[in-house]
Amino acid sequence: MLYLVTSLYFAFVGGLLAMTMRVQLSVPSNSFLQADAYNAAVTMHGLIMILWFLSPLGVAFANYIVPLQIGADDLAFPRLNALSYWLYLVSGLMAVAAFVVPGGAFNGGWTAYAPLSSAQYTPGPGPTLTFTGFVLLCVSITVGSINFITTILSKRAPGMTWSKLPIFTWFTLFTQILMLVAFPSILAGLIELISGRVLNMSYLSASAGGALLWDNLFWFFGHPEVYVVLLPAFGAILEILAVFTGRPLSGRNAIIVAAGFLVVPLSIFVWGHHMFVTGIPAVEREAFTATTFAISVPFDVMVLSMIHTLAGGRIRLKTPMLFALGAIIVFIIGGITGVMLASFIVDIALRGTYFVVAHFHYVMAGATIFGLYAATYYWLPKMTGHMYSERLGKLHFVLSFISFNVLYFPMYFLYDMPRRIFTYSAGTGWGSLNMIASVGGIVFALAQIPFLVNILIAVYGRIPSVANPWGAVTPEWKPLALGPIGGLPKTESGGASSAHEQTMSQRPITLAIGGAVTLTGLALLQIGVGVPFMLAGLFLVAWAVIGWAMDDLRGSFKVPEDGPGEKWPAAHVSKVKLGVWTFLSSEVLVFGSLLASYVYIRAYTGADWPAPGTIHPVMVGAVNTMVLLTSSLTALLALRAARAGDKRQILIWMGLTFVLGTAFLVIKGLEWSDLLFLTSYLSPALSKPFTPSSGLPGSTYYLTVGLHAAHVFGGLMVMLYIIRRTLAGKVTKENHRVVELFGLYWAFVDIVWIFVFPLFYLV
Amino acid sequence: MEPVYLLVEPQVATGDLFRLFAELGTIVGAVVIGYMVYNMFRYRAKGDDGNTLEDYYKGEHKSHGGWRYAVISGAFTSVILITLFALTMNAAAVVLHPPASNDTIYVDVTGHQFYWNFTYPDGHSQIDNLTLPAGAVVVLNVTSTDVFHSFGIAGLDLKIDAIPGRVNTVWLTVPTPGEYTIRCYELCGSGHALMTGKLYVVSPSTYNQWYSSLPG
Repeated sequence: MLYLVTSLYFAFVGGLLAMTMRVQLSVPSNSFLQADAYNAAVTMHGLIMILWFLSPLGVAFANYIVPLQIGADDLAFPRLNALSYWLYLVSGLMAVAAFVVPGGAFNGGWTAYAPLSSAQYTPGPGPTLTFTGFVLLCVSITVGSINFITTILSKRAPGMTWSKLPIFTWFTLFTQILMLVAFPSILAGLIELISGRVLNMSYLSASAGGALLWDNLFWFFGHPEVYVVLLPAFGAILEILAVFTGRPLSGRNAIIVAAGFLVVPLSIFVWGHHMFVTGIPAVEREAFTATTFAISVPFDVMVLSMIHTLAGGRIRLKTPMLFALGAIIVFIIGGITGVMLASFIVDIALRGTYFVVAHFHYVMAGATIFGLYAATYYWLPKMTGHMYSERLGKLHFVLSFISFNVLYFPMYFLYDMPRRIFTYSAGTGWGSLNMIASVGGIVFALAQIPFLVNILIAVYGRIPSVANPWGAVTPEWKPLALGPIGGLPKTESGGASSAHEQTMSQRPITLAIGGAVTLTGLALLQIGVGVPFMLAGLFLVAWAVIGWAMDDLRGSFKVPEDGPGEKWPAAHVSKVKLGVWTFLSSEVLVFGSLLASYVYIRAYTGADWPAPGTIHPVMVGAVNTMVLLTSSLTALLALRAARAGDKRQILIWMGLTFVLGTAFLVIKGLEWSDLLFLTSYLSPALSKPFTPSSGLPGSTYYLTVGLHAAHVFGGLMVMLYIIRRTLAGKVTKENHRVVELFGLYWAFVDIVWIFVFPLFYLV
Repeated sequence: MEPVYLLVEPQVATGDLFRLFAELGTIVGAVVIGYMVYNMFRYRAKGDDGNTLEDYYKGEHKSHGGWRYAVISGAFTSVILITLFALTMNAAAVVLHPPASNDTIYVDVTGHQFYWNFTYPDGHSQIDNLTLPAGAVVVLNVTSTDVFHSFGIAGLDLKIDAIPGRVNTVWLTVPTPGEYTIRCYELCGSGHALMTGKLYVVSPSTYNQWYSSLPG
C-alpha cells in the first residue's frame, strides 16, 4: 500500500511536468516555458514516470498479491523488502529535489545521451543528483528482485506447484528476472557517468567511443525496462480476463512459455534497434531487426490468446474488465507501430520523431497504466475490504480511454516533428495536431479525478465487499487468505499480525537515508560542500549496517525460517543462499558491464594505450593475485572447519583470510600511492602521476580496480562479523551457513580479479 | 555530368516502405481490434449469476484448444514478419549502397551546438545552408564536434546520427529542384528546437555556376 501511494505521488509529479509540456506545445511559438525549463520537464517526466511510477506500481501489486497467491506469510526477507521500499522513496525524492539544487534537474533527456550528460555540457550538482538518485534506485531494484525471486522460488505453500502458480505471479517472476538482468548495466553506466561528472574521469566524455558506449549500456538496460514496466500489467490483465470472461485463459501454458521463454531472453538482444542510425554495421542492424521482429511473435501469441479467451465466454464488463480490454486495444496499436519501427529502414524515416513518442506511450504508458488501473479496481475490494463505485469507475474508463487516444493518436501523424523540441514555427503546419493532443492531455489529466475519488470511496467507504466479489479462483480470494493490509486482518489468522511486527526494524530506513545523504554529498562535491554530507551519510550507513549485524548476533529480530512447501527446483537450497546467488548474479553483470566498457573503449582507442608494464608493475600485480587466491584457499579451509564445528580452526583460517585480504588492500594502496604521489614503494617512479583524470587508461583502471577493492573491503567487514559470531559460539556444526555464504562471495571477488589482472596489467 | 540510372532514390525507398508498413499495419490493427470488439459484445453475459469463473469450474470443463490456437497464430505472425523482413532487406539494398558514379558529390556535415556546418570538396564551407544539384548522387559524411546530434531532412525520409568521434555516411539523390528543412532529431541542449537549416536542390547548371563562383 505504501508502494501504491508513493508511486501515485510520483505519477502526479510526472503528470504535472507533462501538462506543462502540453501547454507549451499547444500553439506554435509559445512562450510558456523556455528551452532549458522545457528540456528539464521532458527529461524528468520520462525518468519519473518510468522509474518511479510505472515500475514501482507493478511492484506494489506484486508486494501485496504474490505472497497471497503463493500462500506465503510474507516475502522471504521482510527487512530487505522494507529497505527496498525506503531506498525507492528516498531515491525518487533525490531526483525531484534536483530541481532546487544549483544546476537544476538534468535536462538532457531521460536517455541521457553522452556527452551531453557530462559536466561540460550540463554543469552543476543538480544533474548529478538526478543520476545519484537513479543509482540508489538501482540498489533498491536489485534488493527487491533478489527478494521476489527468492520468495517465488522457495516460499510457495504445499501444493502450489509451478503448474498451479497464478499467472500474475508468473509474470512478476519474469519481471523480476528482467530487472535483475537489466539494471546492472545501467548501474555500471551511471557509475561511469557520475565518476566523470564528479571526479573528472573520462569514460563517456571520451571523444573516441564514449557516446556509443553509453548508448549500448543504456539501451541494454532501457529496452528490457520496457518489458519490466509492461509485464506486471500483462499479468494482471490475464488474471482479470479469465475472471470476467468466466473461462480459463486460452493457451495459458502457451502464454507462460511465450512470455518467460521467448520474451524474457529475446528482450536482452533487441537493444540495438534504438541505434539503427548511429552508424553501427549493416549486419548488426539486420540482426537487431530480426530479433525485434522475433520478439513480436510471442506478444502476438499472447494478444491473440487473450482475444480467443473472449470467444465463447460469459463476459461481464465491469470496470477492471473494461480497463483490461482498453489496455489490450492500445497495446495492439502500439505493438503494430512497434513492428514498423523495428525495420531498420523504416526507422530512418521515423527516428527521433513524434511517431516514436506516440508508439512508446501506447505500449509503455497506455497499455501499462490501463492494465494497472484494471489491477487496482480488481484488487481494491481485497485490499480495503470495501467496494469502489462502479459508476465512477466506468466514467473514469470512458474519459481516460477516449482522451488517451485523442492525446497520442495525432502524434502518429507528426512523423516529421522532432521529439523534445520546446517550440516550433507556425509554418510547419504542426499546430492543429498539437492543439488536439494538448486538449486530450488535459482531459486525460482531469479524468484521473474520478479514480482518486474512487480509491477514497473504497478506503473509507461503507460498501462492504464480500470475500470473493468477482467469483475468481486464484488463492488470494480464498476466504482464509490474509485480509486488508494496514489494519489488522479481520478474519482469523493471528499469525499475520505477528508476521508484521517482525518487519518493524529501524535499520532499513536508517540505511536508506544514510545512502541518500552519502550520494547527495557525492553530487555536492562538485560545488565543494559535499564532504560533510558524505561523512554524515557514511556514518548512518555504518551505524545501520553494524546495528543490523548486532540484531542478528543478539537474535532480536526473528527471521521466519524456511517452512514446508513447494520449492522445486530450489529444494535443497536455503532461501538465504538463494538470495546470495541471485545477488551475485547481478554483481557478475555489474562487473561484466564495466569490463565490457573497458574492452569496448580500448578497442576504439587502439594504439593510444600505454604498453603493458609501463604503468602497472606486472610482478607486483602477480604477487597480489597470489595473495588473493591464497585467501580463497584459507576461506575454504575455514568452511571445512565450520562443517566440522571446530571453533579454534574456524578462527585460525578466518583470521588468516582476513590478514591476506588486508594484505591485498595494503599492496594495492602502496601501488596507488606510487601512481598518484610518485612514492616508489614497490616500483620505480613514473615521470608524472597517473591519476583518475589521466584520460581513459586512468579512468578505467581506477574505477574497475577501485570497485573491486571496495568489494574486498566489504568482504573484510563480513569476516569481522563472522569472527565475532564465532567467538560468541554461534557458528556451529549445525549452523555454519554464514561461513558458506561468505565463501561464495569471496570466491566471486577472486574470480573478478582473475579477469581484472590480465586485462589491466598484462595487455 | 554523367547520368546515373536509378530505379528508386534511397529516401523514396525508405518512405515507400514506411507507407507500405503503415497500410498493412492499419489493416491488421483494424481486423484484430474489430474481431476483439465483436467478441466482446457477442459473448456478453446477462448479469453475474452463474457466469463467474468459480461457476465454470463447478460445471463441465470444455477445452479451449489453447496450444493449437497459439501455435497457429504464432506461425501466421511469423509468415507476415518474414515478409516484412524481406521487404526491409530489399529496400536496404538501395539505401545502404550508393551507386558508383564519377560525379558523386561528397559533403562533410558537422553538427555543432546549435548549427550545421557543410564543407564541400574544395574546402568551401557554409552554415545551415546546403545547396545540391538535382539528380546528382550525394554522399554526406556526418559527424559532430560536441554532443550527440541527429541530422535529418524533413519530408525526405532521411536521418543519420551526428556523433562526436565518429563519421557516419548516408547518401541521397533528389531528382527535381526544391527546398527542404534540415532539423536536429536528437536532444542536444537548449538550442535543439532551433537547430534548423535549409536544403536547396537546384538545377545542375545553377549548381555548377554557383559552385565555380565560390571564393574557394
